[in-house]
Amino acid sequence: MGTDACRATGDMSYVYSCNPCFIRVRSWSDETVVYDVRTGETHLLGADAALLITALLQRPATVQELTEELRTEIGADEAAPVARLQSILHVLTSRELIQHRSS
Amino acid sequence: MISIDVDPEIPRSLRGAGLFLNIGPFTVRLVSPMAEVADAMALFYDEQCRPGDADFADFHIRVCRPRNARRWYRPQVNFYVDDLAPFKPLPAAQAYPFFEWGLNWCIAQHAHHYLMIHAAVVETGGRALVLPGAPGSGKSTLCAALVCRGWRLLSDEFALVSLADGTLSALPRPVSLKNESIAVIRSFAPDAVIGPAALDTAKGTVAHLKPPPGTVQRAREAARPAWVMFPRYEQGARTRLARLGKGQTLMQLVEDSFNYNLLGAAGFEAGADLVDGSACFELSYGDLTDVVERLTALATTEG
Repeated sequence: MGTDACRATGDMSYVYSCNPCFIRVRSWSDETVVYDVRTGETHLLGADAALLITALLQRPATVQELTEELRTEIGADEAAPVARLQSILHVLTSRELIQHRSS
Repeated sequence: MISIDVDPEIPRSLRGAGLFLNIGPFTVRLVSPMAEVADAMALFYDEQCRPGDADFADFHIRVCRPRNARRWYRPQVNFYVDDLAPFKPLPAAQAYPFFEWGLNWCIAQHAHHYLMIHAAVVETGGRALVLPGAPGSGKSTLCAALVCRGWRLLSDEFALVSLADGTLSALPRPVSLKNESIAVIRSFAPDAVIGPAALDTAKGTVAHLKPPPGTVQRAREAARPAWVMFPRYEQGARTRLARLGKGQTLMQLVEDSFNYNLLGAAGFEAGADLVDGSACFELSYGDLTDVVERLTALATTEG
């Protein structure tokens, strides 16, 4: 199995979470700013990333669960939601705003 | 040329125990034997100074010539705070601006009970307009024009956002004008008190505008933020206000802050509260009369 496929499979099996002790969040219209208490970094998020953060602050979830929950809000076409969510999750993970573990 | 009537107590205090200056929330004890410093204190801080024998000062500042040959040959001036010299000497003719720049540094280094943003702040009707901006953006010129047309000056350098309640504290000091803006403000407000110019500074030619009467008396009146506007002067441009998202505004204020990175979550919350309570804009302008009228009308309409 190729590297990309492994990564995709790995993403699908991860459980993502967001620890409310690590971040502070403020939202206005379609802009959300997140402050990382641990690093002092401040991030401006787009609407979709903000939705993900908000959802994960409620409870941990897999990509599949997030797709089901946010399909309407994110509003992408049938083929796009999973890939789009994975892309956003990857960015949020790289910024250490969310965490993941194997399910 | 301005004729300054110097109270003899001012130079006497400056040469002795020190001249105490009440500058908003700060008390400064200034010692200086230099006549040009005494003249500046008499011109700009006459309502805020008292002879030295007070028991406390936030900053102990000394502005004086060096003891070496540069005391006479191409004379220089040093700035000391708590007997430490954080800067290299400057030409003696820049003694008074050096005091103002050094005081800026003192405040930026120590006043961490505020979120401090590099911004001019003016107020009308209890509501504050915050004008953040890098040097050269035109914020000081716009600030000067607004205070010459009835807005109250809180500060031309620092937005002092209280971490306790989000209000903006006043820091009444002379407004620093640079280069072409000196003549612009002289023309805009012929009755304004502008001190002598210091030439060939790192910022070009610099002069200072004395805050209008009544500013100092209201120094203890904080104000609620109502507008955040990022000014940009463009010659010939029409006055234009473009709405800015609050998230974008907060991110820019973070960049413009002196101490956001030191304050942790408290700084984030203070900045977020500031934009939360404010209408946020980018402001471009080319005509001072027009932009002052527009902003005054905006404040009146929204009042």
